[in-house]
Amino acid sequence: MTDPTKRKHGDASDGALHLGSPLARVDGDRKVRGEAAYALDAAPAGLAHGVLVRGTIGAGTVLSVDAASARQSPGVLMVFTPFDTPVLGAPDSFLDGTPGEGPFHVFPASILHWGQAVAAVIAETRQQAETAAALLRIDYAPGDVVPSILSKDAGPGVPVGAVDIDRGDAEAALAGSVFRVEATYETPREYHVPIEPHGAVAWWEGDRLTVREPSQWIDAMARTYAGWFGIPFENVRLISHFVGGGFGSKVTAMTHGAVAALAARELGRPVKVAVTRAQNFTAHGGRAATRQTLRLGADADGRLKAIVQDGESETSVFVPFVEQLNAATSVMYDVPNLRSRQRLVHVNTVTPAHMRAPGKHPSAFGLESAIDELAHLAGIDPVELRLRNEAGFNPQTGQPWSSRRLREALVEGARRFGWKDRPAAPRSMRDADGAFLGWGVAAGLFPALDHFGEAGLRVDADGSIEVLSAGIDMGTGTYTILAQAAADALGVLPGDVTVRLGDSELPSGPLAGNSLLAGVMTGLVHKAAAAMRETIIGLALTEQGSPFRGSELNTLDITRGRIHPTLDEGRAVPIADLLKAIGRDRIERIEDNFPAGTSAQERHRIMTTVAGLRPPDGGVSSVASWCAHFVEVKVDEDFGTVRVRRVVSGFDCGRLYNPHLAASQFRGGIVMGIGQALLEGGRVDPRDGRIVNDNLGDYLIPTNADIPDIEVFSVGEPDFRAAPMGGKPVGEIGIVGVAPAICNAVFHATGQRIRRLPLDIAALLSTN
Amino acid sequence: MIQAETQIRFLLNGAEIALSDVRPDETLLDWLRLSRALRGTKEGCAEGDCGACTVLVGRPTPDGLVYEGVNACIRFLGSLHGCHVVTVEHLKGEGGALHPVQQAMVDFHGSQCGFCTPGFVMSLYAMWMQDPDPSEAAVEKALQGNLCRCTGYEPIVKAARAISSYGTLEEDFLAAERTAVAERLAAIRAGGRVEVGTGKDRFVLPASVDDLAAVLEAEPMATIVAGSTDVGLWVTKFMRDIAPVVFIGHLGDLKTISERDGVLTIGAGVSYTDAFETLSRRIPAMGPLIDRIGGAQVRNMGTIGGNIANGSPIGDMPPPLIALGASVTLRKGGARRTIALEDFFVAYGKQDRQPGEFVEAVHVPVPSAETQFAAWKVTKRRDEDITAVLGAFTLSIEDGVVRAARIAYGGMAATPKRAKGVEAALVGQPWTLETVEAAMDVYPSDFQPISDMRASAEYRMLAARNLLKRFFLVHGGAEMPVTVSRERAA
Ligand SMILES: Cc1cc2nc3c(=O)[nH]c(=O)nc-3n(C[C@H](O)[C@H](O)[C@H](O)COP(=O)(O)OP(=O)(O)OC[C@H]3O[C@@H](n4cnc5c(N)ncnc54)[C@H](O)[C@@H]3O)c2cc1C
Ligand code: FES
Ligand code: FES
Repeated sequence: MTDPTKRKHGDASDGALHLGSPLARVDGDRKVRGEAAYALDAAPAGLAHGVLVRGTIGAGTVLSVDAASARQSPGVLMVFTPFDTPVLGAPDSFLDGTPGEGPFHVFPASILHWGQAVAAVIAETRQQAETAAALLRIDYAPGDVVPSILSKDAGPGVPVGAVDIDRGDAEAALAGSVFRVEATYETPREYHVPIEPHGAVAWWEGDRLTVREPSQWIDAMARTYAGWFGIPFENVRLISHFVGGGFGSKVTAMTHGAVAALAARELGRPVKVAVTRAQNFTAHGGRAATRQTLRLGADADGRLKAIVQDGESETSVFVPFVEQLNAATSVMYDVPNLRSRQRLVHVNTVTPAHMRAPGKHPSAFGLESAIDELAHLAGIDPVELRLRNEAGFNPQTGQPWSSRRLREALVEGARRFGWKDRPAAPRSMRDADGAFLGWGVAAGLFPALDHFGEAGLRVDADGSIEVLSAGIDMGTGTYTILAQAAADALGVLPGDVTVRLGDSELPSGPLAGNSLLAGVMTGLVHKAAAAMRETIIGLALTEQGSPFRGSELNTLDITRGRIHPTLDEGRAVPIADLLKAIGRDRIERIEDNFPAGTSAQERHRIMTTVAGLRPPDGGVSSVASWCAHFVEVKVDEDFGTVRVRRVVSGFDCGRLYNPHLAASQFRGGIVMGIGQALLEGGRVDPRDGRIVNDNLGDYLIPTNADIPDIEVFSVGEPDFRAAPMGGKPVGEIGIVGVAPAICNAVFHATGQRIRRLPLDIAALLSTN
Repeated sequence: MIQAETQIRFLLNGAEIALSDVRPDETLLDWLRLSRALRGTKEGCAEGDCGACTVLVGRPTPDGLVYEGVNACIRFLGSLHGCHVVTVEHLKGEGGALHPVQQAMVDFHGSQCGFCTPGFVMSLYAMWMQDPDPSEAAVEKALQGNLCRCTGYEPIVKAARAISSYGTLEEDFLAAERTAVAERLAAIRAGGRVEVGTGKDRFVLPASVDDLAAVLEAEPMATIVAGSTDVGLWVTKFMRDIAPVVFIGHLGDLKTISERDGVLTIGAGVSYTDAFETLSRRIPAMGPLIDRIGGAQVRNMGTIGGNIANGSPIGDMPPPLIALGASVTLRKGGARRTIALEDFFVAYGKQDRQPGEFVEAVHVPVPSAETQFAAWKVTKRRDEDITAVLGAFTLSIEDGVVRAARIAYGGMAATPKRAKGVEAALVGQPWTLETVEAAMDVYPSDFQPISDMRASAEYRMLAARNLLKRFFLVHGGAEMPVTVSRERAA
């Protein structure tokens, strides 16, 4: 990354010392040593191993399971089938206010999608469990299957309603527009594919359950376990110290965890259930497949007059999951007239889930492709067209932006990329070897959300300083930025701070979702550390034994962990020494941002359901991160192969708490975007809805060789309306707009529009 | 009858291991994580695709002890007899500090979630041991077999190039142990046949090639395992029972490459990595092709013999070898027969190999100076992707006229297959675009490809035809190479 620390924006020039600086990841050491303990590395004494068995029909009923020989198989401890698995309790839905789904049938006899778990085998070793699982004889009554949104019998779907938008009179404005484009854009099922598969290790001590499981939302998952097993929330300990990537897939408790905990209870010993790589394609959902038709109308200058959107997204036959297709469409540009409709197509799939930039990615794929089509039609440069349609305020809500530096990202990106040398006509750039080159651009956004939470700070007489939170770090850098935030506010060095995360026994943290954790937690840790600082100074001035007591000073300073009179570091006393001098072993502070008077019960609801999500800035301004991607592709028309050769991306994410970590998020997002454009997509068997490419050899994610030089830069400025420490969402924005930028570049290279992802290389083959 | 040893013995990090109880299909990864509590090595896929399980295996070779990265998830425990297994836990720098590879990864922000990190560390360590000052291309080659979903790779590439600034190979901890380790491994390997397990559930390491022949005669239905990059998946993915197993990867006699009268003879146990130097020197177009098979871990384990014996229609070695006119020697007991490689592939899933017979060597004529040879693999993902179409061409052109042509394809039929009609349309004709275009029309008589997940029938057909055109442009028309190096803007 162009080092943003050398730039004005996103640096530490707002007075902070450590937050904003490119500190190396504090957990890097443990990771390179192989010492970072992921959930499935846990191996408590007496561990038994469970495997899940997947059903092999797309819909229907399990008639019977003959488990006789499996039960006789060596080492087998227990077999669960639809007919002999205890029914678990009914947790309330984490969608606050809606009723829960009732008692949890771990293995329902009714099959709603291919690969649905139908049984589990627990044995002394994994090998024994697998061997026995293969001996199960499962008899099905297959039903009719609607395999995917692409199937003929999938139907038109049902209207969503809740996300519909009517702004002005879009149809009329469209009819009166000088330039009109209309096209249909499709995105496939995509899968999160964290390199760490799912799984859980569970054990009981009396009526207390401990689960080690990769989690993006400790407290909500713990609540589900409590509901399943009918025990108080406090009796569940969920531990997730390190998460090997999540991208939205590790937010809720699932069947594998229920089986581990259930078997552990029945057997009275710890049980591990590892979800295999193939099972990771059916045990939880990926991103929903989508299809949308966009009609854009603009005046002679390319100013957007109208957008009409009609979209469908796929969901399961049992949950109405909405992949919101107008998430970008409705706010990217200044459009007076907009009509948006979305329908849900119910098919026999596992329920889709949020995946990095849910809604925003498919929405931007459609919109940013259509904008490029409009630019081509109107003969206006696509960067210029976007600048002409910049929205001065949120066109959907009328709120002012807390900050919007998309213009800067576009202008600076174009400069760095060399965009001015781009010939407008497609098929006009060739590489030395004759292959076509193309340049494309697209923009993106990521709307911010705020959340409640707590943060703990603990200072010990032995000199240790700990930040405590049930929030997690899935590689995003929470361990590091919270050490930075605490160091600044307390007056110590980041290296003096130990951050403890990912344990439901720690102060309640928000979910690691919607890219909100960093903003919320840096604010809370700052608050807790500042309070701690005041506490320490107060004690130093007043407590018996303190060298500063009675010194007639009315305040003190803390610098690099030493307390001293302001402007006089000569008489400095280390914090630990002060604690010893005043006879304290430990000081602990927990700060939160709940409204005053929030009851414990209400806090629990807020922290374990979506009730805790709220608009930032008290809803006064509209907060979002912004980005612009510039891409060069090379297309070999003899084979249809497309290689991305160069990416330059500018980001407005406000202040970057750690530019290195932020750059890593941006780059990782862009790489996933390259995957979306060129490689990734679940292939559904049209007969039974099976995911055919359910492994890493066939579901292709980018390898190093697919990745070109990527230059990322920040145009953000601290935005204190967005978050207490001035940052905006970082983790998901990188992916938004990458796929359309690539497809726009492919159009520029070849004259061929790519409207369905991942792009089909056969479509680009020259046939002459 | 040779008296067999009944223990698998090898070195694990600093410890000497002797196991009498080894399941024939037990993987190194399961054993490390479950039996040895060495959990730094991760499982991301159990199919050789992600590299999270990468460990080093050191083995004695005629050139000394060589350490290579392998996928522990598809490596059978029994195959480690006489080897040195090094896991991430063993790495160390001076005085308890991080190893140079680890320090570089920390300093260049090579991890995000960190789950892939131990695998990358081990791959980079293997690379660094061979090449302490790697070019960008060398780094890319070393990283082909490791997936990272978080970082976007660039930090890891930077770390890879900086390792030597943190320490030298001479000071490396493994260098200090080298002689001692080599001696201990030699002592372990001095024995004869090794056989663990009982009844059907046995894992056998024959003492020699003759012993292998004897073992297979006695047990013709045993599964031969060379690099286990195919067989490993039969176990981890398809849950197939492969016992008894006869391992051949340790047999030095099967690992030789020799050249006589312009013909290279490659032993069935030669890995891609071991074959690379000779093949790419003698038949330059083979180098880039080998570089596109799996990642380094798969090439370190996988053998050309295994690729042939496996008989897949999308194996990458048969088409070029058929185009070169290779033959294969099969052995059963004391009897050997040598047949044209193309005749070995009878039908889908069926090869001309009798129970108890094994592939001993493949013989590859080196093209003469007048002969043009090229082979290209077309895939969607740049690296670590299975072939959609692979075309291989050997043409002799004299005075502007095609004198001889052997063209073979993978991915176009149920077996690797020659394009005999196309060849006929070329031979005797002037080497011109007209001839090539006429020959391109003949493809449908040679091939009726199928559609699958990787490519449609139409795509395969068009790409296959375009490969011939590409061959013409490179060997006659404009220079237009298909390179494997990462493409970058000028
Ligand atoms: C991640 C990954 C990527 C891969 N990428 C590619 C690729 O790009 N291109 C490609 O072609 N392949 C690829 N493969 C497949 C595999 O690596 C090759 O087919 C390899 O050459 C097999 O060799 P092996 O020594 O590992 O064989 P093994 O797995 O040991 O054996 C394969 C088969 O050959 C038999 N066999 C082995 N040796 C003999 C012998 N001497 N005589 C008789 N039978 C024998 C075995 O019984 C078995 O049936 C990939 C595999 C993986 C896991
Ligand atoms: S676990 Fe993925 S390659 Fe071994
Ligand atoms: S750091 Fe997460 S997979 Fe590489």
